[in-house]
Amino acid sequence: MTSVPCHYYDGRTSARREAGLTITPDGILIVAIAGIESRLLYPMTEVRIPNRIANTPRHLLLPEGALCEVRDNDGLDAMRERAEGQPPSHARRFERLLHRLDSTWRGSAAALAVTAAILYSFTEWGAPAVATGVVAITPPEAEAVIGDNLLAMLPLFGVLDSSELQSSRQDELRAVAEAMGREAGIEDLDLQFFSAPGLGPNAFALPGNTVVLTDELVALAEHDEEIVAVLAHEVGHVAGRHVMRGLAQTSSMLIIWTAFTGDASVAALSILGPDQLLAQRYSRTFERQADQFAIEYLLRNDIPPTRLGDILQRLEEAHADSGVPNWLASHPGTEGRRREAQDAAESVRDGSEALE
Amino acid sequence: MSQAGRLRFTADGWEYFRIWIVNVALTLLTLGIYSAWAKVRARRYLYGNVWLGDDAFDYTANPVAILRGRLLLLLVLVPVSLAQRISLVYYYAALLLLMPLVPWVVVRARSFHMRNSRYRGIAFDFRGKYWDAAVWYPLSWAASIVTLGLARPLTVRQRDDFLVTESRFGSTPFSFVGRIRPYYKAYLTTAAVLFLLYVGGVFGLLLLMAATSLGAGPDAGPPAFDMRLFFVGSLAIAAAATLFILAFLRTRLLSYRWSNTRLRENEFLLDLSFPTMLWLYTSNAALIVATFGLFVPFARIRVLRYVVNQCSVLKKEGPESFEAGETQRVAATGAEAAGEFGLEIGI
Repeated sequence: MTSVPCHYYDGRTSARREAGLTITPDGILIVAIAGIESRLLYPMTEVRIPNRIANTPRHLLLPEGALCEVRDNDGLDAMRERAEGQPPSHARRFERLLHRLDSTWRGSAAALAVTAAILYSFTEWGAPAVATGVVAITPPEAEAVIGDNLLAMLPLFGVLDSSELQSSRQDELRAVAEAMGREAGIEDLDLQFFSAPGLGPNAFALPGNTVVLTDELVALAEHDEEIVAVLAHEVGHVAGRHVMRGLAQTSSMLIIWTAFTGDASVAALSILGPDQLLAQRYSRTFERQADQFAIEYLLRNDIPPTRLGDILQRLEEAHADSGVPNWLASHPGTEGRRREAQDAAESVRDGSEALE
Repeated sequence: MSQAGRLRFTADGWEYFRIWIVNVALTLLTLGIYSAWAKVRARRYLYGNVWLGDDAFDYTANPVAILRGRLLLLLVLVPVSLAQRISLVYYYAALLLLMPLVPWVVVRARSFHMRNSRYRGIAFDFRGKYWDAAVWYPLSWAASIVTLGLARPLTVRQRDDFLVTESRFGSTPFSFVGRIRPYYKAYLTTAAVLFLLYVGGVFGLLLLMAATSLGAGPDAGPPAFDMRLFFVGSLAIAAAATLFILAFLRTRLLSYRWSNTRLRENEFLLDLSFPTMLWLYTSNAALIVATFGLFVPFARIRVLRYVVNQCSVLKKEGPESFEAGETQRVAATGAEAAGEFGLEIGI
C-alpha cells in the first residue's frame, strides 16, 4: 500500500521529521518515520483528523500529543475513504458537503443565493416585524426620554431657536393638535414651536408624542387649514409611532448585517449603500401612512384634502429656493402625494354628487 | 549563523470569498450559532496560508469554546445596549460596572488565541495575570485621561511590553526591547496631523459654505448655509481622521511592537509603509461600500497579504530547538479544560 508523505512532530519539540502515513483497511494508522526502523501504530478512533479547508496543510493529532502534518489532502482523503468503507458516517458526509460547498462555484452560488434571500426577507418582513415587537414592549416613559433627549440636543446644534410666534396663536394651534391627538387615542400630545432659520419651514414628530412645528412653516401657510393638514400628517406619524419603528428597524438591520460581514465596523461600512435605499423605502411607507391618516382626518372634519397637497407643494418650492434639504422631514415624491390628496378630494366630491 | 526568513502569505481572494460566503449563509441559516464554526474555518484557512520557511501556521480553536464565549459576551452586552437606549447615564453606569471585567476578558482572549495558534507542532501561550492586565487596560485609560493623553504613549509601550513578554512560543518566552521615544513620536505626529486636519478641514468647509451661499445672488435674502454641505463635509473630515489613525498610528504601533520583539536571539522585522496602508484601507472601504459588503473577504486578504509579506525573521538558530510548554503537554494528555471560554476581543 502506498503511503502519504507527512511531517512528524513529537509534540515536545519543534524538530521536524520526514515520515510516511498509511491507513490500513482495518482502521490502523501507521506512521513510518524516516531513519527509524520501528513503526508507530494508532487505532483510527484515537486519531483526530481536522476538516479539510481548501488546500491548507492538515495536522493530524495523535494520541500522546504528537502531530502529523499532511499536505496531500486528496491522498489522505482517498486513503481514509478506502479504510472507512461505505456508507460514510453523518459527520463525514457533512464534512464533505462543506468542502464541496466552499470549493466549487456551484456551492458559492448557492450560498450567495441563500444569503441574498435571507437578507432580502429580513429587510422586507423581518425588520418591520421586529420593530413592531420592540415598539410594543417599549414603555411610553422610555420613548418620552428618547424624545426629550433629541429635543434637548437640537437647540444645542443651533438647529432650533425659541419661537417668536404669539402665545395666543400657539395656544390656538396647540388646542387643535391636542384635540386631534385625543381623537387618535393620544392623551398627551405635545406640540412645540421653534424658530429655525437654518432649517426653514418644517414639521416633524419625535418619540414620546411630541410634534415640532417651525415658525417658518406657520408663516408659509396661506390658510389655517394648511397648518391643520400638516399637523394631521405629523399626528399620523405619532399615532403610528414611526420614529421608534424606524430606530428599531435600522438597529435590527445593523445586527443582521453584522452577522453577514462578521464584524461590526465592517458592517457599518457595508450597510451604507443598502441602508440609504432601505431608509428611503421605510420612510416612504411611513409617509404614505401619515398622509392617509391626514387625509382621513381632513375628510372627517370637512376640510378639503387638497390643503395637504397645497402646503406640500409650497414646502417643496421653499426648500428648492433656499437650497436647504428638508432632511428632517424626509418627504419624498411630493408630486405623487399631492395627486393622492387631489384624488381623495375628487372622490369625495364625486361621492357627494352621487348623493344629490 | 544568521539568516533572514520572510513570512509568505499564499491565500487567494476568491478562495477565501468562497469559504466566507458559505460561512455567512450557514451563520444566517442557523441564527448565528454556526458563527463560531465559521470563525474557526476562516481562521484555519488564513493561518494555513501563512508560511515561515517550509512550514505553515495552524489554528486549533474549539468552536464550542468560542460559542460559549460569545454567549457569555452576549449575556453581558445586551443589557448594556438596552441601557444605552434608555438613557446615557445608565449606559455609562453600566460601562463603569463592566470595567473590572475588562482585564479578565483581555487575559482570557489573548491566552485562548495564543494557545490555539501553532507552528511546527508547538503551541504559543500567554501567561499574563489579571492584575497586570488591570494596570495596562482600565487603569492606564484613566491615567491617559487624567494627563490629557500625555501618558498615553508611555502606557501603550508598557502594555506592548506586557503583551509580548508574557507570550511564549512553547516554553520559550518572547522578550521586548522597544524604547519609549518612537511611541511619543508616533502619537505626537498623529496629534499634529489630526489638529491640522480638523482646523484646516473646518476652515475650508466654512469657506466653501460662504462661497456657495454668496453665489446664490444678492436677492436671495439672508445667506442660507447649505446644511447638506456641512454634514457631508464634517463626515468627510471624520472619515479622513479615522483613516489616518488606521493607516498611520495603528500601523506604526504594530510595526514597533513586532520589530522590537525577540525570541531568544531571533529578531523580527515588520516594515509597513504609510502610503501603501492608506491606499489599501481607502480602496477597501470604497469597494466594500460599492459592493454592499461582498468585497469584505477580498479586502481582508489584500491587507493580510501586504502585512504578512512585510514581516521577516532574522534567525540566529534553526527552527528545530524549541520545546513545547506545559499547557500543551497537559492539553495533549486529554485533560483539556472543558469549561474553557473562547473569548476573542480586540482592544
